[in-house]
Amino acid sequence: MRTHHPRTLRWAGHGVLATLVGIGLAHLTAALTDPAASPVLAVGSTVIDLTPTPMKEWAIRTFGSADKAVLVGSVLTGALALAALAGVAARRRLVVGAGVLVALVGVAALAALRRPAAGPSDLAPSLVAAVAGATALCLLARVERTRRPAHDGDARADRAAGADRAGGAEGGRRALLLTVTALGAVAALGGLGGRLVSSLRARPEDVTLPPPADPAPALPRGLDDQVPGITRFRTPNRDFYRVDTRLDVPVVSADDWTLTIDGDVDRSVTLDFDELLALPMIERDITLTCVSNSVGGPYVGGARWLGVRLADLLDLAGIGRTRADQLLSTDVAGMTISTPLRLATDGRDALVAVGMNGEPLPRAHGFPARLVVPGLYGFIGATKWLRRLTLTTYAEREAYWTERGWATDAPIKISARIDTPRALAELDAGEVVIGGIAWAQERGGVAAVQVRVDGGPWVDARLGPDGGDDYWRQWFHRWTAAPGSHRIAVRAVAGDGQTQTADRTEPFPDGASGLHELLVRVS
Amino acid sequence: MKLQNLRRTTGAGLAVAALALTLTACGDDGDGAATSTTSSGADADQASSAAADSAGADTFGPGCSSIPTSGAGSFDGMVKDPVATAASNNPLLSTLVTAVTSIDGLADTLNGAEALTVFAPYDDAFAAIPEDQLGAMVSEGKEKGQDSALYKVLAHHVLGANEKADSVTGEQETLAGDMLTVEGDPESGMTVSDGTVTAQVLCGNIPTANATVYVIDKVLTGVE
Repeated sequence: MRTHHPRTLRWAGHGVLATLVGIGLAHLTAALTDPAASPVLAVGSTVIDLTPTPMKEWAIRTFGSADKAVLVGSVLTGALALAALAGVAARRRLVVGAGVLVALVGVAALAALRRPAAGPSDLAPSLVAAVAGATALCLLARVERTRRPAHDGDARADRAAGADRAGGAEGGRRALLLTVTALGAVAALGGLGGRLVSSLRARPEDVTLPPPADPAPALPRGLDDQVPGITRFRTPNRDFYRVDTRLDVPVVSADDWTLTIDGDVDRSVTLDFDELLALPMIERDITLTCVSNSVGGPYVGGARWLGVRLADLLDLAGIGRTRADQLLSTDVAGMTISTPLRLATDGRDALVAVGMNGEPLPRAHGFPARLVVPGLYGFIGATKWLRRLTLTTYAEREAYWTERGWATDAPIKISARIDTPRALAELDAGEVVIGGIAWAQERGGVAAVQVRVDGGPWVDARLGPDGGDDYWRQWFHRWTAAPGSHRIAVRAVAGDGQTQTADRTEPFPDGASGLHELLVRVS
Repeated sequence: MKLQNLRRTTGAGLAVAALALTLTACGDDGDGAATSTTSSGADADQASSAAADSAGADTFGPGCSSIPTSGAGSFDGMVKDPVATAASNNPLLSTLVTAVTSIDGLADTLNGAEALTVFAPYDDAFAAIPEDQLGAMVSEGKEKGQDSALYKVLAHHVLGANEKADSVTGEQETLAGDMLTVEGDPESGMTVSDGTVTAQVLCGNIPTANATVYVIDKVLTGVE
């Protein structure tokens, strides 16, 4: 390919522009129907889903741990690279160029359709992309041909340009410029319009939550103001970690949402949002933790949840005679998460939550309803955008992460994290406040936190206020630092007497363990 | 299920029909301006490799195909792992990981630092160091931690800023307080030198949550 040739480059640009028109209008269409069916997002989601397939190792290497922006960017870059080739091909034979574009869209269409909850309407964005992209390419090709009628021997173009042969070159250039500008505007308007519609639709829905029948006690004042750099006792909704397999934020309306409890139950039950809100509400302070959190990592957050006891909901369906050992929850898009039924129903405050920190669930955190199971990592108990609870067995059904080799029974491990000072911090000699957070959900909470400097003896840290056994606890320790390089370690002791293990494991397959230990320099 | 398949087929059929219509409407394109001589077959090949390349656009280097930039654990990972966790998932960095974890607190420190660049010698690079010497260094690392010679050597492979391929070249200060010289570019290859040892970047620009990793073929032993 001679990319140095300016005309070839221009045609490559035409391919890219035509594709952008298609993607832009498709994005707008998807925003109006189902945002997840937008071609780029659909392909990205498919790449995520295909990640564990050994045959796709190159994709795994690239995308396995890449964040979502990189993924979307890569998909877009790949698509545009192909689009440029389509443009170059179209220069010689329009049908080949358009064919490449259509094949590109075909991939997106397949991706949109292979999602678990896909319906025929999910084809609409791809259809729009194909028609708009091909039309744009045709338009550009026509204008190009009109520009140079004499050399091309194209009869129709000849006629079209014949009227003003003297001003032909100049007029042709102007026509091309106009077409490119117009198509660019269409692409931009489509893309921006899509964003606007998405964000309008993604606004929090105006729902009023009932007060809790069983409220949580007032949360004590944390150490937030006393220990600079410490994790806040309550995580604001906008700062709460988000780990899920979605590239977008599902937009679900409470009006047409239902929750179904089925499977091996006495009777299947379906509730709409109002019926759910009519049940007795409990309010609890619970710290959620992601299984992917490395020792000392950021994927943990504390919030006040409002919702219906899971046990109450299961009782509506009747589980006295069930032989199920798994509670399989399904989200609105078909994502599945498995929770051991034994743990979900052992008396802990598992709930189907509708409120977070005094507000309806933000969309990113599962509006209209999500599962919250204290003491279990999110991947086996924190289903967002919850749609269905099915009582089944592990032998019968496998959830998304189970298929990918992650554990099915994964209680949160006792953990402590140093928030301040940071790793490799340069400190002044003298008093240094070491501070952080510790959690031991469903293990009697955090009874003690101990700090060790340079492998010396463990010293008790001062604990912050108690927010309940399922909530994390802040701690701090005043250390008199002498010049030199030092290492600081922390461990938690749970209310049930267990001390956090020093045995080091990585997050896969059932959560990281080991003590958080950092190096700092004092001068 | 069958109904859904039928619907999907119908949908796909509709899509094809609509496209055919568009193309027909667009009309004649029989002999366009043709100076480009590439066959469409070649185009298709380039197209697929272009897609693969852009998918892996972040990393570069001759070793990228054989060096997994993520391993068993992160194959099915949910999040982007921080650098020490990511390295521990990589089977070709196991000696380096052993060295790092022999110094208490170093792994968490690497994971917890806000921004780093790590030149990571792969396993064969350590083969150049006699086994008993390496064993002695690791033992001393376990005992003396950040005051050991091993710590100094490891810190000598780490920069205190996150430098991607476009900014990593030039003189760079390491966490050991001395300098490394990075030369070259992603296309023609990159080297990193401490004045005593010059290592080749086998696979560079590997992103992790908090650091960029460059896998290299030699241990940089020229610590000042």
